Amino acid sequence: MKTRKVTRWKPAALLGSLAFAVLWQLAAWISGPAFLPGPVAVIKLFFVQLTTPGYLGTVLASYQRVLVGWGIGSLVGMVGGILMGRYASLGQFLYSPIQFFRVIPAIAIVPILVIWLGVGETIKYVIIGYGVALVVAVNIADAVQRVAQVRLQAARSMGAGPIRIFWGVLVPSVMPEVLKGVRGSLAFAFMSIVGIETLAAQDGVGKMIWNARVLHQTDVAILGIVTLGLMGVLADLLVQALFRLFGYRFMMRR
Amino acid sequence: MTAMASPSLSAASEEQEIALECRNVGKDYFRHNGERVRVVREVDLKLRKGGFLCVLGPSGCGKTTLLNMVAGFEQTTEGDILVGGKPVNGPGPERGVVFQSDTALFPWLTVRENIEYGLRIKGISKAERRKRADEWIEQVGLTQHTSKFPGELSGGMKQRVQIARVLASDPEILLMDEPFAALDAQTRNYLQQELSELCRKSGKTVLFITHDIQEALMLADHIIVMARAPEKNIKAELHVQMPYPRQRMNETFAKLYNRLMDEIDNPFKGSVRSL
Repeated sequence: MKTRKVTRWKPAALLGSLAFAVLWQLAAWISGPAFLPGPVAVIKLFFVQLTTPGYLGTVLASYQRVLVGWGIGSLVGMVGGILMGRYASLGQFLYSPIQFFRVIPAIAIVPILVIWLGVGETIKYVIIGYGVALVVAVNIADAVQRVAQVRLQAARSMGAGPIRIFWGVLVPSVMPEVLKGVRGSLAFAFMSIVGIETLAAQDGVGKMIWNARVLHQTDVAILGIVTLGLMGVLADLLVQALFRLFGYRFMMRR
Repeated sequence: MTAMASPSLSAASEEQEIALECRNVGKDYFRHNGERVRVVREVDLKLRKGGFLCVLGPSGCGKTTLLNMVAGFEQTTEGDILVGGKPVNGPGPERGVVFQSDTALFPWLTVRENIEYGLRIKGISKAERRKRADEWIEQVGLTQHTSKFPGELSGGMKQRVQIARVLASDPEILLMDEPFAALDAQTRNYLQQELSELCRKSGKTVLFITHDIQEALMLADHIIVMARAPEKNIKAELHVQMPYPRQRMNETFAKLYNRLMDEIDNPFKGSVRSL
């Protein structure tokens, strides 16, 4: 595994973004701003909205849900994945249920959870955490099983006991996969948030997008989409910065 | 060299302290279809303290399995393994293992931290740990690379770290499982010379597994040739009298090389027809 680096803004990437914006603006002119607002209109709206407490509240509500749900899901997934990888019988025991739930999108269990949990914040954390935990657990369980046998043997022959081997060898050995899985599942968390906010929330970016439909506010709907994308990019940059700060030694090439 | 029976080792080694002894060691494996296969068969050997024993054999002859049993990673099906007179029961720090694969290193620890690992387990103080680690780092020539991570090193350097990591813990026996097999020829030669020197300086006892005849002749004072079934597992043995440091390009070396070449069995012998 190679050391991970932030993808830099290279000229080609900048050009790609510009080309996309130009095409979008052209399409907006042709179709009319009511049907498809262009990037300029959306950016204008963005700066207007930035000054309103409503928009910021919406963003913060979603952000909080994503981060809490993702945090809980990552933790559950990590612990579950390591245990499943370490204890083959537990892995086998959970294999079928996990394969079963893996194909069920979070959105499908929203109605039943609304009956059980109501429409408070808990349901958002559960829905987001559900998807994240499954993805993280499956990847980490696999990684634990692929830890080089000789590394465990080396530690044993130097006198390391089971606890030291677990915390000192097994866990750090799977850290690259943990970091990869946790970072990857952040995208998963953002995908779930829209569904759950559409179906069972009073606020949040998902609700903002969905409500825009009623009043035919195409610009608001697109601003919502753009907002989601920016939130995701920002969260990813933050996570990467944290990894580089605290996890750099685990991202070393093997 | 004659394929003499293994218990009749030279009288000289009987007088010296025995570091490792295998008595009638055997190991069975089960194949995927449940068939029982005996991979290690009736292995008797003695390794005197300070000796360098090479187990030489083709792949599949059970030489790595033998080392794994001595290391305590695998149990014997039959027979006893004694280290320092005590029967082996699981891995222990008095037997240090150097593996062929560099994945045995801890990639999240620096060179120094890797070498300190065994000392940390022994509960040795930080200052002492550092002192001993740095000594071994110097011994293996990695002083410039102390705070690098294994991923930033070449294959040869990584094996140097493995060797230093094991030696820092000061084991009674060094168990080496083809540690240079994955390296390029040049690096392998350097490391053989360095290991030979290091072992003579420190008086370490070594059990070294290899399939490389030249390597065995460069390093060992005692070579055991292992063969696949149905041949006898220990097919032949040889005491190498050549003085260290050894040279490849001389007559004695060439003669011994050819004799060992004849002893090592070729599973495809006779299967290639002359045109």
